[in-house]
Amino acid sequence: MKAMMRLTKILGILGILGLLGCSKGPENPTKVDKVPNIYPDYVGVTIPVGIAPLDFNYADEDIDCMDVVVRGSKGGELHSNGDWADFDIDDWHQLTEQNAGGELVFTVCVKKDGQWQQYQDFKMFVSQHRLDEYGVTYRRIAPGYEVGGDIGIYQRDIHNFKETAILAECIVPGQCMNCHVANRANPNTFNMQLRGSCGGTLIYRDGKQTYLTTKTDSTVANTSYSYWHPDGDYCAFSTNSIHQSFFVGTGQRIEVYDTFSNVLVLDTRTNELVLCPLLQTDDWETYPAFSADGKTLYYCTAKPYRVPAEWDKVKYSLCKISFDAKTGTYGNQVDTLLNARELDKSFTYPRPSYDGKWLMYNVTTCGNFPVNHPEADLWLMNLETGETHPLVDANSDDTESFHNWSLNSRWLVFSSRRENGVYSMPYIAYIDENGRAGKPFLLPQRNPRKYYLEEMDSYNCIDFTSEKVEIDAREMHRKVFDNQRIQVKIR
Amino acid sequence: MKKVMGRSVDWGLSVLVGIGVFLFWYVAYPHALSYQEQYQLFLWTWDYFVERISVPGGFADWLGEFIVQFYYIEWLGALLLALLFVVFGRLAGWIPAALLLWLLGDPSVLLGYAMSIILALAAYRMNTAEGKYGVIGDLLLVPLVYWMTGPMVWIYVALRIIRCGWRSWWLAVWMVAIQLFVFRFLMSQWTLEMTFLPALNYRTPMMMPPLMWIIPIVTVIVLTIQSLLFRKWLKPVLAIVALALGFVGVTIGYDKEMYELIRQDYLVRNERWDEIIDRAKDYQVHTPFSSVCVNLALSQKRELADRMFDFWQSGEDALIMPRIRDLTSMLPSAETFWRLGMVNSALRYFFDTQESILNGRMSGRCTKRIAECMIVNGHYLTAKKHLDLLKKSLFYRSWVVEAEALLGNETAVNSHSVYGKLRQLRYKNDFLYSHFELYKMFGLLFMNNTKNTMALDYFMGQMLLEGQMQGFQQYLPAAERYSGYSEMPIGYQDAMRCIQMQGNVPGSPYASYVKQMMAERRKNESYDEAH
Repeated sequence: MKAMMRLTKILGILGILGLLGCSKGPENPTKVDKVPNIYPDYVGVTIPVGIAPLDFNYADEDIDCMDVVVRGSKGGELHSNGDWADFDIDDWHQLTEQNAGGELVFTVCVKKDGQWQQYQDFKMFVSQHRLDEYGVTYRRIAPGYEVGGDIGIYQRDIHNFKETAILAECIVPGQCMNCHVANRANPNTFNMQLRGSCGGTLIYRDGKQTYLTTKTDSTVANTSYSYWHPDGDYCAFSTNSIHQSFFVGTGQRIEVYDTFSNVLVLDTRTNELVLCPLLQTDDWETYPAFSADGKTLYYCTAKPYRVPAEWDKVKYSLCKISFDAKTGTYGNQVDTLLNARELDKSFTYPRPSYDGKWLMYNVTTCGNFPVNHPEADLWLMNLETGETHPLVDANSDDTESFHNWSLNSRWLVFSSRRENGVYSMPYIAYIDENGRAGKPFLLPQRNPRKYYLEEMDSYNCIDFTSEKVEIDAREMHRKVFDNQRIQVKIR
Repeated sequence: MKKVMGRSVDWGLSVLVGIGVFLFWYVAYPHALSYQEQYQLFLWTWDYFVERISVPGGFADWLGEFIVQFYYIEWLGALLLALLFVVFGRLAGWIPAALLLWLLGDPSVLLGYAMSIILALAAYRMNTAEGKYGVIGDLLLVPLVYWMTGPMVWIYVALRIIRCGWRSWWLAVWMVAIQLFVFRFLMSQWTLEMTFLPALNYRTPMMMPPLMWIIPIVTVIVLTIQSLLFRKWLKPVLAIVALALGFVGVTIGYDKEMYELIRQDYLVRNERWDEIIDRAKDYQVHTPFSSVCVNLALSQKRELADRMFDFWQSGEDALIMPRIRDLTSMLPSAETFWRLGMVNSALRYFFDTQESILNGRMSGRCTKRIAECMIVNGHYLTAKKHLDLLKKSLFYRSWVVEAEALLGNETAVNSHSVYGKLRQLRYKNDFLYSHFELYKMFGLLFMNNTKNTMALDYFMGQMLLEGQMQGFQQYLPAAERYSGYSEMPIGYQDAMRCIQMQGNVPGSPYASYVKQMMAERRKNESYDEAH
């Protein structure tokens, strides 16, 4: 017991000594006429109230200490002193609440080689528009080629730093799991594709897991990309024969392409597929997405080419067709919103805002898998006027993809490869009433440089979730390996 | 005096076993050590330790990985294994130790398994108390030992119950309660099987060889017998049984073909080309993997054109295997791509190999090559990410220091003996890789840089493997001109004779290959018809 007490004392003294090394505030700092080089680059970003603290490191690794004072334009102050800027979660929340609609001004001093330097102050803008969703869901996967490896679907509380697994590879070994797609961030209504020897489509509604075989005699493959109808009964899918080829050069690594694809809608109440001849053509229809009111089905379509040889000729137009959820019927006319041949671009991954005002989509030079295209950018279409514009402040020189909206349509989450060209990382950006994006911020981490530099996974299919997803992973294990699937029928 | 004698015999036996085990691994199975080492990347960081010990059995797993990292130096790895066997034998008895040697013939068994048994037995040896203090010790030790060793804690539980009598039955209940608690509240992504079985100790999930069950049971039985029976004959009998089991284990537990392939990969990794060729002369496993290894070795000795068909060839996949989702098959092909200058394809194969490690571990060998590919491609930011990881290991660190100096320094990379050369050899134009047109891929690579004689050898070799006779004849003059051979290679002469004589060349290696392929095709066709 005495020995324990002695050990505690020694540890305490060592801790205090360690703190002393950095506890003294900046003394006579030299002023530096530039903003600090911080990681992640949070200078000038727009953040929501209640987000996890935007901790940051000094980008140069060789510093002795960092001292940061944050002052709110509407009051409040925070102070951090240590190896990196590390703020208390509750204090940070309080400061952002207090400064909603205002600014946070950061004064950063860095001690390097025994000398303090004070950089120019920088600001973060606290939006009046809240982001009250619980967090984000995503698939973590190494940015490899044909083998998924140790993948998993995870969720992260965006108000703190806690990440939990929804479904980890260890509980369904050898099975590849694809995008978890929720209905408007609803944790109780989502679907997920499983590939491998025990493949199938999981439909999760109100605590019930149903596993389907979605390939039928009338459809050419199992379902892939999906989007829920807002009423939660229907879910639109594409059926694709997905392939990938690999470049021998040093630029783009992979091209993913289809050799055929169609779009259809599944009635999850009856497990029936609702087909439409206009969406089952010889052209390649893919990426369906329902409008906010559920009356329109957006999708992408391309003329077929000999792939992979003519991979760069495949360009997708953005189209729409009406859908009546009461009768489960489609309209008889397709409208082209963006014509790939005329504009010589490929338009994919449409995601309508939930307020019905905007349609966000990817623009690439060709193809249907933007995450592998370094030129992939996010664009917005005003659904009232049809006008389009790129999200200049959210885009980068590298890939932006896997985007979606917050429930109030004021925030978007997406993945970007801007940091190194290979790893997709999660970003959140504010959208104003004119459809202009604020500077996006990388999903906060307690020690971001350590976290992201050591992270060997990409973040795919990122989306908001209003509450924590509570699915029984063990039931999934049982049902996946039972391999009993309900065969869907054609209505 | 008798006691001293007995101890001396015990220690003598331990030393003998130690020497035997050391020689077994160092002389006979160094490639098995290399195999284990290449499917993990032990990091000397607190985070790595915490991540490992955050699950039941994780500490033993971490200790196992800690030892396996030293396999990088073969003699050191063999020495540590020998010591581990001695400790294992002295704690568990020599029969379980012999069974362990048998079990380790399965390359998917991880050393954490042995560590977990050792830890459980060490805890049992430590807690000699009975009565009140024994109960307190058990109450505390059972959860601790469970967290450190995983389900092998049952060895501790069983031995304690046997030692303290059946009144200690509550220990088993206590243990089950702990495991159920962990299952219910702590490990939401684990199945019941994972909680109760040593799942962490086998590289392939949901599969475990019966020996992994048998060894702990035998350990408990042996230790119980030893503690209850004090007969003169007991020790010699146990030693003889152990010796017999060890012999049987080594004979049937180490699959000859599998270990020959593992050896070939090990020799490729260490660029011991002559040994690959020499061994293949006497014994070659009839798989594409083996053909790829032998052909790579021949190409590195510039003997591919002469001697390719002196060795067994698997067919069109004998130079490069198609992608296969496992942790070994693609490695020789990946090494071939790398040496050819097909850097992106090497990167892809190494990446997918690493992702195929089913327990989700990184591979030091693959990570190093991935970083190298990225350096050659000029992707310095992602290369740095991998180098940062390797830097935290013990044996890759010194290489990282050299590699880091190249990042962003185009001049240094261009003048580097390997990376600079690969930059000269790789494709200048970008296009999509096509495995179905391998010979064209090799041809383009050669056209890209006519000094790439390996690509030329592979181009001609692939045409012969595919039976592209017209193409072979067409490009033969170019091959003669650019290959640097003083006269037409014997292999090409033989192939030409076969073409001219329509295969009727007695004793011709290429004619034998063509016949073998024709027979194979007929067999496949009749199989297809039958199905």
